[in-house]
Amino acid sequence: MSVPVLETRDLAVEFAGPEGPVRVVDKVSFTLDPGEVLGLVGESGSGKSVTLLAVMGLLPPTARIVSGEVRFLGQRIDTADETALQRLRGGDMAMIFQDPMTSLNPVLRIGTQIAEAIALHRPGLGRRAIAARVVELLGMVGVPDPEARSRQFPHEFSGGMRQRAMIAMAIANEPKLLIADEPTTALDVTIQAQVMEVLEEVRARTGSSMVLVTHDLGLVAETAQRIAVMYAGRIAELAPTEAIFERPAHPYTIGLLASLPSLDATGEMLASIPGQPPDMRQRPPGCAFHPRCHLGRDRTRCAGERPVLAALGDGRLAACHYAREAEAGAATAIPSGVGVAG
Amino acid sequence: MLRYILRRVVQAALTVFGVVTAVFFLVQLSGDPSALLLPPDATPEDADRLRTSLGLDRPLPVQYIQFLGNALTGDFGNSFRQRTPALKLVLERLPATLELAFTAFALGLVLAFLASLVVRLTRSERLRTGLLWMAFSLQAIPTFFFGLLLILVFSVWLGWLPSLGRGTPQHLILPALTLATFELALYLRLLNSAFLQEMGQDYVRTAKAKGGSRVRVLVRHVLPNAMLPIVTIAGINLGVLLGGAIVTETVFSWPGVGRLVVQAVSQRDYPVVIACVFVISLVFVLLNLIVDLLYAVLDPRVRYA
Repeated sequence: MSVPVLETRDLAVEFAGPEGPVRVVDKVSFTLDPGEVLGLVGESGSGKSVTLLAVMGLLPPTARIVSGEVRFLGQRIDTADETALQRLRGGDMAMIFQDPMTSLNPVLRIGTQIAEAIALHRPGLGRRAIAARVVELLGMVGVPDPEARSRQFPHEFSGGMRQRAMIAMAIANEPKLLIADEPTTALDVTIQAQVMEVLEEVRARTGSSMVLVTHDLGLVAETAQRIAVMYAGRIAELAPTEAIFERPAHPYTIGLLASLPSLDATGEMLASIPGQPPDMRQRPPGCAFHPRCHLGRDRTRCAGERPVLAALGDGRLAACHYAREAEAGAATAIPSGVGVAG
Repeated sequence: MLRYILRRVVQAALTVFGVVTAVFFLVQLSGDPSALLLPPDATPEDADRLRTSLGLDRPLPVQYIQFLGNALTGDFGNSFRQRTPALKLVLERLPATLELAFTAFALGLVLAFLASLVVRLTRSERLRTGLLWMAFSLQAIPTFFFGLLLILVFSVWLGWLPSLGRGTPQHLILPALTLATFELALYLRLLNSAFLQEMGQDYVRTAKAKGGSRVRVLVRHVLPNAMLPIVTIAGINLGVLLGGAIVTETVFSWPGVGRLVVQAVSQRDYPVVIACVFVISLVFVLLNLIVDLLYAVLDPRVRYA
């Protein structure tokens, strides 16, 4: 077994709040193998982005890792010093952010911003070589007329083109780990597919492993080999993509799948999960999902005992006391037609 | 771009014309200049003769038309008191004002930028709030009082620096310090909020994700963006300084435009007052134009047509 590109073990992150620290990521453990794409799925506030900002060492000043560890190619990086992290960031470990409208510096040319990513990690490279590489990268991500476009400013780029530029910046040094935090959420639906295609293409070419964060199950279904579903700062279920869609074992995953629009059903109301995600400052005792869960709502075990992520075989993990029962009932809860496309 | 500049120049000319016209009529309200120019025992006939010789006996509209005609050729009339061309008097004072204004402006701005960068790099919350408190306090002290305080300490008690006049670099220190303190306080507060706002922007996170050091992210990415809101305020402010820092120039007997305008008003020396206002407003509108053009250079999103 080769060394995982990325490994987190019992990672916990807390934000400073007016009434004491708030734990927004708790006991998150996962591994990412070389060349693998892991989908990280969950609703807003479930801790997906914070987990990955913690991995990159880019947590905002009010947040900090309180326990657990992060390993990159076997090396601890959560305890690494800032200089070591700077060498990794943008080099072997790159990140693409959600909103390309605000993620580029408005007063610097696109080419300058990509060139910076190259120059920071290849100090010996001359100006001309860098400029040529910038044009090559922009061409690679499908920006037409890359030479002229590299001299333009972000406001002269459309949303899709800006995200392509962000991708070019992230893959500039052929990273071993690519973290894409909702890379298409801010884009038009028609552009989303194009940008995903470009991202997957350049990822495959550089051989990077990728963590793809999204709240769009359809998106990860096409790209990821495994999917981790997060709820209230924890991983609820982690399994190979087919297994997630065909044999989901956590009631939350089942609820998510049931709420996807199906191709066969017409004129029906979309199913939704009753209730709201918990307030992270007052997390319910026991399983965080139990107040909304059709299985656990009335069970004292769910209300009192926090389930741990346990193996179900075939590389499937679920954090549910009644995973077997949930799995058995899943077939009736999810409408047909929902599944892995293609 | 050229058309934009042309349009702005025409606008500037109209503004200056409007200001000068307003001042021409407003000074008339201050009273009869002859009363101040003649000795107390002068007869009414003496006053009439003086008014005739100064051209003040003619109807106001006639005086105005004549004034405009002369002003177009650069002639603002002679000072009632000194019998020399008013515009020349003002232009003679301009270098002193420029020297003081630019020194104070540059000193305040540079110190504010350095202090803000140090705050950002050390991330010291204590230093940041300390500087902000200092800025608030300095802004709250009236200029004349602060100037007098400096004179008391550095001229009277310590005897290190001259308290009034112009000539040597030492003469410049106290008035420049007085003005710069106020500038420093203003820019410290502006930069503090500009930096706080920019530090939270997404592009800063991107720059960090590229592997840039804190210094690099701050200087290369945050600073150019944080500067934008400062440019507008700085332009207006420099205009005010170049118009003559009236209080500071008076406290330190600095022979600048500000002091000249105060003297001219109190002596009802109409031509000098108008010439002063003309020069000040001209400097002001030109500076505003330069600031707007500078904005287009600093922020690529701004384009003028």
